[in-house]
Amino acid sequence: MTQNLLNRIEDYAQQVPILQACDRAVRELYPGLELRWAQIYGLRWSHVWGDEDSMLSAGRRVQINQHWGMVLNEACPIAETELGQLVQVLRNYLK
Amino acid sequence: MQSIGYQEWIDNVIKPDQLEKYLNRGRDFINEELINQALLANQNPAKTRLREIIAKALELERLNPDETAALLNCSDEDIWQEMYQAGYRVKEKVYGRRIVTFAPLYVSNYCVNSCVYCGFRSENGQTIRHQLSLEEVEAEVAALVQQGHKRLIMVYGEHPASDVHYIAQTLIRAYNTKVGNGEIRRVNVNAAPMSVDDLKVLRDVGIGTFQVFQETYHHKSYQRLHPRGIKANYHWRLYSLHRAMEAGVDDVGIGALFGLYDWKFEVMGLLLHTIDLEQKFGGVGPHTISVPRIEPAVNTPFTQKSRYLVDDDSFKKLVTVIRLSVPYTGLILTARERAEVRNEVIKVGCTQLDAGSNIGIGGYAQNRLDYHRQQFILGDNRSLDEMIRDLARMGFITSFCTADYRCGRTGECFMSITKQGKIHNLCMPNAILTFKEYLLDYASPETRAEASYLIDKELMALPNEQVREKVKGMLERIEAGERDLFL
Repeated sequence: MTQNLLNRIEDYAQQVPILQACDRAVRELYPGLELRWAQIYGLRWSHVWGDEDSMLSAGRRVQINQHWGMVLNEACPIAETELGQLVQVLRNYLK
Repeated sequence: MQSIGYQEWIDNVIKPDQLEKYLNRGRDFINEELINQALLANQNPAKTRLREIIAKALELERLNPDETAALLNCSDEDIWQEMYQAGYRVKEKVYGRRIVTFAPLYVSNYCVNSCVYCGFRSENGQTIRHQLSLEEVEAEVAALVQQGHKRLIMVYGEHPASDVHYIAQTLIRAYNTKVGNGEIRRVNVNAAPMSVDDLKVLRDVGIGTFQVFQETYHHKSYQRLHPRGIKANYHWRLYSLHRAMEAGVDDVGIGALFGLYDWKFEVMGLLLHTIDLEQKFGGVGPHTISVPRIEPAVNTPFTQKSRYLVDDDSFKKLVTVIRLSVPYTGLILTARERAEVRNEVIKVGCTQLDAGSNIGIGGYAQNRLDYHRQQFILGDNRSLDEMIRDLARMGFITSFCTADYRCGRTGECFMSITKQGKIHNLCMPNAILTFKEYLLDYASPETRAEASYLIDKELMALPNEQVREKVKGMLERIEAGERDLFL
């Protein structure tokens, strides 16, 4: 998964800004995933990009680093270990 | 600081390029000709037309200036009754039967401005000036936390001593203050207009909503009422929330101080402000609209002699029209108003109230009322506990929810959900959870006895069975001692 995600992000990064590249890569790996990206400022998670229309139910917050977070739908299809790996990869791109 | 020093400071604060870029062909969005024309062209509106407009609002669509002008010009009391009911239904559709509660915390009353209606104006020698130290901020916040508050609006006069770095420090201290199970989870700010760079400083420390009220949208009245000081610049203030959005503070609050100019004009101004924000920021308008009405202040005769003072009946009407005109935006009614006025006006669609308020600088920790440290005199002095009990008697559940901005439901995301009328699917469960915390940790036995029924009532009313079961489980965890659970 890690290499696959890396390759996709690198490919997309040639075409679109890095956040959108990460977004596209993650969605391709996990079809049907509802996903939003937020910048973190103190307690505030400020919406930046993603499925604002589909997030009408509770989301699961996943902090990538001090500045970036993802909000996934609660029925997230990603296993815990894999989610940890995903976050590790994203940390390299979202500073 | 000498007057020449102030002028230099003002010149440094105001960045002309940060407001000129938002002008529409060199003009601001308060097109007085358009407002006056709309008010004139929509006089004596027919009942059928008014009912069509009400129906549009019930579909949660924002009204246009002509439609709002027609509502403002309604002279049929039967239709007003229909509008009051529609306001309540709109609010219930978007936000449910919950009222979000907060406390104002006045941090500094030093001010360089000369607003003729304000007790903090620089020339008012009868106001006792003070700026809280960080230790005093902590003491104030601790006193509020011990009442059960989770949300603050921190208020600052406009002065070099209360610049953005001071404000940021006070926010950090407020967030870091913990007492037992309690803490402040969202700090909103009401402060002077700032540059984009300064607003980024507030964004970085986790500001909730940034509020700047235009006071009056009427250009000439604005100049007359703000004769000197940095606030004399109408456009710097008018575009302060555009700059906030640009800086990434994507929850902003607008407001007008009713009593400075014709109330119908001000309602139109609020609508045009909403429209301009929506047009320039991808459909994201204000997070909240506030409707302060001018109140007496020490040594401030203007507050009682203004020819535009708004009576209680007109006040209820203007709040109703705002509710219908911008159906999806939060509406704040403060303790400026007397309890009986608030109890009446809440019902036409307000979403947020302050309670247990003390607006004297340092007033919470010392538990004292001192008019000489206040910007104006409050009309409603009920404690938070009393307010919650009264709301419960009216069927409203008090919410201390702060989950939205901690889950990325801000700006575009928040607006998208509210415009569909679906925010309460998340917010009502969070209201139930935070209300449970309040009842366990802070409520008086009397309030606990009178208000607990709301937990079961609202739980059973949740439309989604899965969510209901989840909330039941979370309520059990709160009973067992966990705190700050939210969806």
